[in-house]
Formats: sequence, C-alpha cells, structure tokens
Amino acid sequence: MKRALVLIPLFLIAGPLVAQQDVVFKAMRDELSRSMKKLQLEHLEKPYFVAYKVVESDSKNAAASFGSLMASGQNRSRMLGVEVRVGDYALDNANFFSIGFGGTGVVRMFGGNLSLPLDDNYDEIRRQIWLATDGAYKKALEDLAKKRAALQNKNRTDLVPDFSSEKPTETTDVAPLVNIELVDAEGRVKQLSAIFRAISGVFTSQVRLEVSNVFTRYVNSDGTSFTRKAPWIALTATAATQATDGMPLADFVVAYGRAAADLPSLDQLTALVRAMGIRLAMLREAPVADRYNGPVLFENQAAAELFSQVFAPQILGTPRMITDNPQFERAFGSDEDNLLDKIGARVMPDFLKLVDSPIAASFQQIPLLGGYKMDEDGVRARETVVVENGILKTLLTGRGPMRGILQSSGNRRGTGVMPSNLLLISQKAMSTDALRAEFLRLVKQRGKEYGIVVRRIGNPGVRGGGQGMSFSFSSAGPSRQGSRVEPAIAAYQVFLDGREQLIRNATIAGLTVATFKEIVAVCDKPVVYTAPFSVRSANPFTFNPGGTTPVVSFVVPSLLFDDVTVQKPSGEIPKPPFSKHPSFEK
Amino acid sequence: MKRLDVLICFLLVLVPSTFAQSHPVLDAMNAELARSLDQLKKQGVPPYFLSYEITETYSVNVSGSFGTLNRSGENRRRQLDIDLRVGDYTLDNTRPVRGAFPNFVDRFSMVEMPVDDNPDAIRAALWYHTDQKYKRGVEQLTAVKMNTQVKVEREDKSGDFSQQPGERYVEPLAPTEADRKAWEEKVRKYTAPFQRYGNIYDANASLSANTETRWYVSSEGSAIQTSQTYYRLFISSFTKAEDGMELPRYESFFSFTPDGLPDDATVLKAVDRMIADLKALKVAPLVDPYTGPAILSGRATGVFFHEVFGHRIEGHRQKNEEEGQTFKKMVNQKVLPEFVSVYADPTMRRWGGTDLVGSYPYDNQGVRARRVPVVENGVLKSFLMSRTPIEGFPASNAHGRKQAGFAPVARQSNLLVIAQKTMPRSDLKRLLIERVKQEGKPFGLLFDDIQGGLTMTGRTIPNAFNVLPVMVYRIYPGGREELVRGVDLIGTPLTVFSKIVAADDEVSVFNGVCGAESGGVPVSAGGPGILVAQIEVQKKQKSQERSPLLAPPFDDK
Repeated sequence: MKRALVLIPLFLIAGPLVAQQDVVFKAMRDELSRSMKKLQLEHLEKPYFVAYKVVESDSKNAAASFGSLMASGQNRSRMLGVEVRVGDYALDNANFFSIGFGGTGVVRMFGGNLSLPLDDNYDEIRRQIWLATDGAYKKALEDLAKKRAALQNKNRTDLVPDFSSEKPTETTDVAPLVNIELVDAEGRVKQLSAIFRAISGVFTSQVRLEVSNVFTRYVNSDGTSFTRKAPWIALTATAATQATDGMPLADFVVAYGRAAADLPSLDQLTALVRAMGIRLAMLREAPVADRYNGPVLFENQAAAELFSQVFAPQILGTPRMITDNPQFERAFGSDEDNLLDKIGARVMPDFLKLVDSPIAASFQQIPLLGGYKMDEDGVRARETVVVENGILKTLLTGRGPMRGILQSSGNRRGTGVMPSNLLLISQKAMSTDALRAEFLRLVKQRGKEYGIVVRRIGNPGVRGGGQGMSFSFSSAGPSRQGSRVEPAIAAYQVFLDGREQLIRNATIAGLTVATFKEIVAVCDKPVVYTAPFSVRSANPFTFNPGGTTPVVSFVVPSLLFDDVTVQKPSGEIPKPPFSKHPSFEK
Repeated sequence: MKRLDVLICFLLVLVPSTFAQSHPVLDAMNAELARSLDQLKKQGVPPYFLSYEITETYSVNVSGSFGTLNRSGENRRRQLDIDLRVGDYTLDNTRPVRGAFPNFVDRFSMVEMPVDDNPDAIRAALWYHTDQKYKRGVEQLTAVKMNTQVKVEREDKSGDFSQQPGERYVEPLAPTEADRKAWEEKVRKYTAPFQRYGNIYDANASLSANTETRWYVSSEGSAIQTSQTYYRLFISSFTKAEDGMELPRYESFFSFTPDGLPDDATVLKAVDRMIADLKALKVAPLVDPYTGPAILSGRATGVFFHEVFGHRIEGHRQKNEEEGQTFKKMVNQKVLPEFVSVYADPTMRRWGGTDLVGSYPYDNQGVRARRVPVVENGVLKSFLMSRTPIEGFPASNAHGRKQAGFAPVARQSNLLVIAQKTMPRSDLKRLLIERVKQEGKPFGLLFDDIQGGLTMTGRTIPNAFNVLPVMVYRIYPGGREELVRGVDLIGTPLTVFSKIVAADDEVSVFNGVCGAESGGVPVSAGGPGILVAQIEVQKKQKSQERSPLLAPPFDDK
C-alpha cells in the first residue's frame, strides 16, 4: 500500500512536470495570464482573448539542376505569433483591414510575427512576448475603434458574431522526427536532376527536396493549448520546354511524406522523373487541337486537380473582411466567392457525397497527408460532410462565423481556412472500362469525330522549370467569372475506334463550380492525390511563420462531363531558342 | 630564411596575374560565350558585346540578442549577370528610353546558378538565359532607335558604351574563416550586458563572414576571377524617449581578416559605452531647428561627402536629363576650399585605422581599379565613370558597380576626403566657439556619431541631402558640451560646400552599404573632422508609439 501511495503522486505530477520543463511554454503561459490580468490602457477595454503560438522550424533543403547542386542549406527559426482581441465575441477588432503607417508597438513585427531567441531562456522569451503583446493590444484597440466607426455608416446584412466560442481543448499531436542528412538530400537531388542530361527536349529543370520538423506550441485564454510536432518531406521535380512552334510546356512530379519511408524509393522516383521528362519531350512534337465542345473525361490526377482548383476553393467559409477604405472593399468581397448561398441547394449530381476528413489517415492503404488532430486554433479535428446526395450541407470554417455556420469546423490551416483531406464518394460508380464506354457513347451521340480525355493538369503551386523569376501571390480565391484552370499537360483526342492522339497546350475554358452539377458519371477507382493547395486567406497580407507549404490530399474518381470547352491558347507565342542546348548540340 | 620570405612575398604578388590555374567556372563561361557569339552571329542583329559575370557569395551569419542566440547559419549561392548589347558602341539597346516607364525588366534579374563547378550545368543555364537576354535586347534596340527619332536631341551626345581592352586576372580563392560555435558564444556574450534593461527594446549583435568570388568573361577577351572575404561585427540597440522618439546606438567593425575584428574586451567596452549613451540620450534635451556653425567628426564628414558630393559626381547622372546635374559644368572650377582634395580610390585597402569595405581590384564591368582624383586643391577634376561615357569623359575609371542581379551604373568606392591644412580637434572647437560668439548664437553643434544619410539628385524633387546623426552635442560659448537629440543635418549641396572653413587631424572612416539603382554596394567614406560655418538641422522623424504599458516581466513582481 505504501509503495502504491508513493507511486501515485509521482504519476500525477509527471504530466505537469513535462510542461513545466518546457520553458517556452512556461513563458507563454505566464505572460498570457499577466496580459489577461493586467494589460489595460487607462480606462479602455482589456483584451477578452489572447493567444500565443510559437512555431519552431528546423529545416533542410537541397535543389539541383542538370546533375549540379543549385542550393542547399539548413535553417532553424522560432517565430512568435500573437493574437489579441478586444471587444467581445459579438464584435471585436479582428477581421478588419486598415492601411496604416508606423508600428505596432516598439518591436518591429512582420505580419503579426516576431522572431524569438533559439535558446530556451525564460526571461528573454518572455521579454519578446511582452513587447509583441503590447503592440498587438494597442493595434487591437485602434482597429476596434476604426471598425466600429466604419460600421456606423453601414447596415450589416448578416448579424453574426465576429468570433466563435469553442470548447477548451488540450491536445498533443507528436510524430517522430524525420531526419535526412543534408549530404544525402544533396546526393538525391543531384542524382534525380541528372536524369535530364539524357533528355534533349527539355530546356530547364530542377529537383528540390525539403525536409522539416515543425514544432508548434499554442496557448490561448480560453484554456486551449496544444503541442504539435510535424515532420515533413517534400520532393518536387519540375521541367519546362517549348514546343517546336515556341509554345511553353511544363510538367512536374511531387511526392510528400511524414517519414523518409513515405517517399517512393529512389528507383521509383527515378522512373517517375524520367517518365515525366520523356513525356514532356514527346509533347513538343504533339499537335495542337482546335476548339472542342463536347464530352470530356477527366481521369486520375486531372480529376483531382480539376476538383482542387474549381470546386474545393468554393467550400471554404471566410467571413468578409471589413475595411475603412472603400478602395479595398472590392478586394475583400469574399461573400460571392464561396457557396454560402447554395447551402441546401444541389451542387452535384445526387449520387455524390463530399467529406472533409482531417482524421482519415489513409485510403486503401495509401496515406492521406492533409490531416491533423487539431487545427491551428486548437479546435479538435472532425469529419465534416460538405455535400450529401448532391446537396450542399455546410462550408468548412475556422473561428470566424458566417450566416448559419456559427462554430468552427476545425479547418484553420496555415494562414486561413483550408480543406484537410477531401473525399469525393460516389454511390453510383462504374468500372473504368464502363466509364470509357459511356464517354464514347456520348461522343457518338453528339455526332463528334472524337472526344477528349484529360489525364494531367498543372498545379498553380508548382510552376516552372526552376529558371528565371517566379513570384507567387496569395489572392482572395478565384474570380467570380469562373475559375481559371491550369492548362492541361496531358490531353488526348479519343476517336470512336478507341485510337488516342496526344495533343498539347489544351486549355479548359469556362468550367465553373456550377458545371459540377452536370457530372454524368464517375469511376469506381478514385485516385489518391496529394498536392499543394493555394490557401484562401481573408487578409492577403497575412503570413505563415515557419510553416511548410500546405497540402491537401484528394480522393477523387475520374469525372465525366457532358459538355466542356477545350481550346488552344490565344495570344502571342514566344519564339523557340535561336541556338541548341549546349549539351545536345550535334 | 630571409630569402625564403622574399620569395614567398614575390610569389604572392605574381600568382594573381600570371601563374594561377584557370577556374572551371571561368572555362565553362568562356566556352559558352564563344558558342553564343558564334550562334548569334547568324542572326539578323548580332550582339556587338557580350559578358557574363557569376557572383558566388558564401556567407556565415550568427546573430544574438539580449544574451541569447537568434540565428546561426551559412549559405552559398551563385548568381548570373549577363550584359548583352546589340547595336554598336555609339547606340545600343541599353540606352534609357526617354518618357518610358523605368525599365526594371532589363535592370534587374535574379538568375540562380549551380553552385557546383559542373561545366554542363553552368553552360545549360548560360545558354538559356543568353537566348532570353538576346530576344529582349533586339526588342529594346528597336524602341531605343525610335525614341531617338521622336524625341528632342539629347544634350549629351556621347555614345552608350566605352571600349575597353580585355583583362586577364586570376586571384586565389579567399578562405572563409568562421567558427560558428565560437561566434554563437560571442554574440551571446556581447549582448548579455543589455539584459538588465527593460527599456532597451532591441539589443542585437551579428557576426558575419562573407566571401564574394566573382568570375567575369567578356567578348573583349577578359577573364577575371576575384575573391575577397569580408568580416563584420555589427551591434545595434535602441531605447525610446518619453515623447516616443526612438533613440538608436550602433557599433560596427569591419575587417578583411578574422583577426582584424576587435577582441572581446574591446567589444564589451564598446557595449558599456552604448548602454551609457542610451541612458544619456533618453534624458537628453531636444534641439529645435537651428542654423549656425558646426563640427562634423571624421565619420560624419565621410557620410556628408558621400551624400552631398559622391552621389552627384556619379558619371551617368551627368547624362540623364532628369538628374539635377549639379556639378556637370563645373569641371576645372573651384567647388571646395583650396585645402580640400577628394579621391575615389578602390585600390586603397586601409585608412583611418580600419580596412576599407569599398576596395576592389576590378569593377563589375571588367575595368581595373585605379585611384581617381575627383577634387584636387578644391578644383573639380573628374567624375566617377562606369563604361557609360559622358561628354568630355569617354572612358571608364573602374566605378561601374552593382549588386549581383542588377545592371551596373557609376557608383562610389572609397571616398577619401583629405585636408592639406589641419589642426588638432581642440583648435577646431576653439574656432567654432569664436564663430558662435561672433554671430551671437547661443551654441554651436558637434555631430559625432552618425548612422547614415540619404540624398535626392533628381530634378523633380528638391535636390537636398540628409545626414542622420546619432550622437549630437551642443557646444556653448563657455566650452561646455551637452548631449542633445532629435535633429538631422540637412542642406543643399552647393551652399554647404562653400561654408567649409577648417579641418582637424583626426581621420576616421564610415564603412557601409550604399543603396541606389544598381542595388546595394559596399562603400567607405572618411575624412578629417571639419568645421562648417553654417549648417541647418531639422526635426527628426519621430515614432508615435508609446512605451510598453506593463513593466518588463522580470521587474513585475
């Protein structure tokens, strides 16, 4: 008995001890409680909500081109993010944009983030949290006053709160660290990029490997806290060339994982990259097809990319940003950019169901990589049925409520709201062969000579062959006129006798979210596809500290549409190079 | 033994120009340069000039604040710059198109190159970007030709590019000597004394070693390899006055060798002085706008000349008709008092007790560095010339400079202000006090430490300069000196130059980075302390942020 008595207290304090040993967490908690208790400017409002996030990232990356190293390095950083809200859940300072000069307190922050010491020095970490909180609080007071003023002259059509109240949670999501030595990473990208030394039709190419371990600590005044240790490996190979008439062509290979073993083997990667290079070189000689209107079958990767670029952005619920500057109002007009008004309406054929599942770890033994235990606000992850029997049920949200959606669905990722793993499930699927037969039947019915099958589409987050300048800009989502789909990389004319002709530079035109209602049929073998997703951020000026490029895993079957326009690009075409590539000059 | 010493010395001198092995990067660049020229010769408009420059930077950076480590890392990268010209030396594609939106596309590019010495990969990248550059060049030449026809005749009728003999020079690759672990300890140690102060809001120390290796080849037959490591220690801190004004204090050390950086004791003494100065600045009185006599310390003189004069003698500005061209018509005229001479000398490696960061053996256009007498005995002699000729100055004097990724223009190197007639600082102060009394002023000013400056040289905005001081003192007629805050030194160039009265014998140098249209380039500027009969100060820009509401956590018990 005595022994048990000794054991029990020991066991009880083991939990708190772990947290106490973590001086960063202790500094965060102590400054949080001081801020909630004491932070107040004269007679003005005190904060009603404070959250701190410390994102510690330890990353390595290597890039190579044509067998030669382009860059390699490792980086360690520790960034603090501070969120201070004044007012109350109904109306607070957040979700408001105002251009201002000068600072947010005495320390210089970038997008609300501040660099912290790498050493576990309690006093110094607290000093920085103190200074950052002070700045964030003063800015919050000013923003709230400006926001109230901006709203005085307006009637709000949607009377929803500014911030959702969520149950406090304490979560730990810790995966084993991933470690690849930098020299090994360098060796691998050099080897893979050297594949292009034997492919004469490719002008520029690059292979890049990123390995990171991101350790996030989060605590807020609701009593929510979490610890996340997320390992990540990303391999990206890109290649670009020009067709014989000069039209630009590009393709890519991406592979992701949470452990070194998740990536395909070197042999498999070699085969994937070589196949991509050869495909691209062949594409140079392929013909361009004239404008086509008719049945189009999107297979595998193309179906997933199409879904990712056209449908997925529309199911994200981000409240409309309020601003005191009319010039920005248009830029933030996000209400029309999602399907909020379509809740309860049919958005797909009745045999389709769409589920966002951060808790699904795999699909038919293939890992899904967009999941998590809790989102970036500490809201516990759960499955959300977005579309059922073709009817839109809800949108994916963070803690910013919208009309009819008052709670977070646990989808705050990176800088905004994002899907995790999206599974498009069909209650009425056909075999691949049956789908193809159905497609050809439709082609024939329309009196067409051929139909078009699209097998690969570009991804907006993976561009270029690794040469020249590239800027990526986060925007408030696709334009209202209908989304622009990246050009098809691999499209085929399929003739009635089953013969296939590869065509290049095919552009999918005018396919919008509404087109998904007209899906004719889908196959029973969905592709599992993980790719970067352009996160939709309410405020384009937000910044994701030390985070990795967010990906979404899709489980999407091949999709057959009855009527889609596929055309060739218009406008000027750059000339092909005046001389031959020096390595292939014969 | 002695002979051996002599021999080694001799070898060190000889190696660079004659005996060194050619580098594989240089060979690959030469091979692709020859092939490109050969291929493009077949086109309707062949290039008349082509050069490649690859800049490798290998940098080791360690920084800390308040006794803790913030960052520690190293990085290697190579960037490519191509100068491809179609047309001819008198008129080519690089001429600015008057009335057009500034041409950023051709002035700035960011092309990463392989960091291995793999010739195939280097040549593949050179091929691709030469082709792109060539297409832009032909397009631009058409626009330039049309522009010369539809616009009025240019005032300056000189050509677009000066001829230059090919140069061959290969310097050994410079080592990078940085022990990161030891440096991490140093930056912690250097910033630990700030820990006790809750009202010092930033206290940062960074140690860096930066090895820059440049390979340059041109169709004129040049093949140049230069390599230099820059070691720097920079400490910055700031506090705030009650009224919100930010009060910074910086210390910076620079050397070409790791041993040239100060030892820990010296740095810690400087840190103590910084803390003492910050405390004093916090309670120092504000100065209102004022005109009157002032002394500029050597470093202040350096920055003052860099802004007021240096930027206005950059050659290409004499040609651009949107520039103020203050000194264009003043060659061989007196612009400064007779006892003052000014040199731009990239060959000078050390002066005023420090290595000079603005030194180089060749500029970014393959021109061998030389000492340029800019002002001799008060008379303006020359401009700083890149390979863009101007009327009366057809040739470069090796000041075509840039940051990797930018197109070069005429920039400063080491700007040395030399006084033939000097006196001790105490006499200079006596002179100042005499003037204060004569003019019935309440006080004179002493600008001691400065953080930098800025100037505008265009025509569309007032042609003025601004020197940003950190430590300013009022000197009263009785000789008392009082630290003050809140002012910048301002003025217009010609007026203030006519008011330089005397100089002291305490030469000191400001090593910094100068930003302009060809990016950031390292420059030095220095001279003696000078007495200016009349200067003007204006109120400093002031932060509107109040000090933190809560006490520092470690004081809030």
